[in-house]
Amino acid sequence: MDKLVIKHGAALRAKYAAAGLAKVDAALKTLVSADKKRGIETVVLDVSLASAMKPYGAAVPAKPDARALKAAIDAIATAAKPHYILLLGALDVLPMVPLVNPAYGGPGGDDDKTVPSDLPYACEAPYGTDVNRFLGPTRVVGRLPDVPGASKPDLLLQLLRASARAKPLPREAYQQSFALSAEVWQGSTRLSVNNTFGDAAPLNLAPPKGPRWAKQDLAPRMHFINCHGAAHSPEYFGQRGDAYPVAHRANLLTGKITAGTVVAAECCYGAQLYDPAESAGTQGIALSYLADGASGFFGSTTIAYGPSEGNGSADLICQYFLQRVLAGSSLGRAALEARQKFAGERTHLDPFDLKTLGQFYLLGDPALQPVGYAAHALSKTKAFKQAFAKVQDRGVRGLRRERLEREGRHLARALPPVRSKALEPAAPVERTMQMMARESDLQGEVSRLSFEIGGKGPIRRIHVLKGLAQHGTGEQRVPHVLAIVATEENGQLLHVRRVHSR
Amino acid sequence: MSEIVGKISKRLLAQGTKSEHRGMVLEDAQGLQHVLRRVGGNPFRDPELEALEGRRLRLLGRATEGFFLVERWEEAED
Repeated sequence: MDKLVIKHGAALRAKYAAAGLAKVDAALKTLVSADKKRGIETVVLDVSLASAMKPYGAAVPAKPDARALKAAIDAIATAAKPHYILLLGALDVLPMVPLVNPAYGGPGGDDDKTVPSDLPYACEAPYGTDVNRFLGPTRVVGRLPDVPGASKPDLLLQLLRASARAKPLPREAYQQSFALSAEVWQGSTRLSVNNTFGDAAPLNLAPPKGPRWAKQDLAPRMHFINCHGAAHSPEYFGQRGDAYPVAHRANLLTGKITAGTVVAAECCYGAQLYDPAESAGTQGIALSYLADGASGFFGSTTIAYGPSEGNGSADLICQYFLQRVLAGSSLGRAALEARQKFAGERTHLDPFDLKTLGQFYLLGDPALQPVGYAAHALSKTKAFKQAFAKVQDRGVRGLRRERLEREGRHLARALPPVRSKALEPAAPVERTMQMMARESDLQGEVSRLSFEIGGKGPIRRIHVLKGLAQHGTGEQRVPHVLAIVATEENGQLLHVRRVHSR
Repeated sequence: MSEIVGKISKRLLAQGTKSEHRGMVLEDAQGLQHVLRRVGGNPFRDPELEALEGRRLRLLGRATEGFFLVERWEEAED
């Protein structure tokens, strides 16, 4: 088995009735045939069927829950070692794991109590809701969604057929990019765009631009978006001072997206799947992109983090995803490589980076490879073609999976857990933080957070002083959160940074 | 449809995140703060909700995870 499609037949039947499920099954057959022609052996497994699950363990109950689904995926992945895992449907068909938000800030702060996440399905660790358990992803996973709350499977059928039709394109087809940023974040976005598409790539700012983009504006196949987003909202928003104009609107995308487009959106709730009935009948931007021809969308389920200048958190994981797509990775491998690179670049992940790792996920068939790789000369010889006619890329893909598994397992072992704990900073650390807070004009009520970094080795702690400061002048003066983040090792100050909120 | 009653004020919301903004909240008799959004309104800055600042109102709408979606409002007695 190369590709495993996780289907929950009972949930799909409850949602679409038997006739709708039959249509989904027919579309899945088309995908399986198309995959076979691409050298990918695809198996559709109904995890709600006891007979289908017999070799692996218990079936997932008729009303699916994340714990049972995680156990089923773990059992199948361990036994069959698929190169790709495709989760079929939205959260009312295959629920996400509700991770506890490590950056929870209560009312007025980051008020996401949980972070719905597909990350645990990409990890070998058993079910849990602590993101520290899932720091070492090893599996290539993506979710091909349907519309939450829908009674007809039309979008899912469309996406399955589009996956069956998709073919890799030359690198040049992905040369052009559409980049969109809230004006206030242009420094950060410019850096992300330069890193991913090169210095000459254009950047659109909102305001003044958006949301009525021309077809030629959106025609490039690579989209990078760094705007505001809100829960259950079909719009992204720009920002200038205290104004938040609409930058991108779901129902203005129709007929403008080029087939095979790949999107990374840093926006809060940028890839949240919600029932359109909760938003005057309009589905979210991520689903609208896919419905109009995009093949992959990498985004967040909840409130995201990033600096206004420089790069961090959401900026980085989104860049890494697009960079790997451009390098020829399949969508699912690009998502896994982005997660691994993001986690692996640090000695430890602070609570904001932990949330970032948990909240970003892939919408799309993980086996699709947007950018074809340039084959070496030997592969064009008759002998090579004969030797690999039946298995095509399978053997080399297996080697790549082996490397990714090794990397993920290493991360799982090496990255220490970071947990909130009531801790006092050591005296020299406290003195420095207080001095920096005064020099940074931190005003009003200042809150404190402390975290203990687990694992062997020196005793390390993270201390955060968070409060309000003003920036801008005159009427443009707006309060923003400023945080002094200090890392303490064995009672001494090891590292300190100042974080400005957006 | 559900309802909440209390005083409307402007607060800094989602502090320290990419979505930090000054938004409208209703504080009810129990001291709970409900983040407000209006059907069809901009979730980050909605002049119609801002015009309600300082008033004690009964809001009718739908409680959703994270915010209260306001459909209409009326004056509430003290």
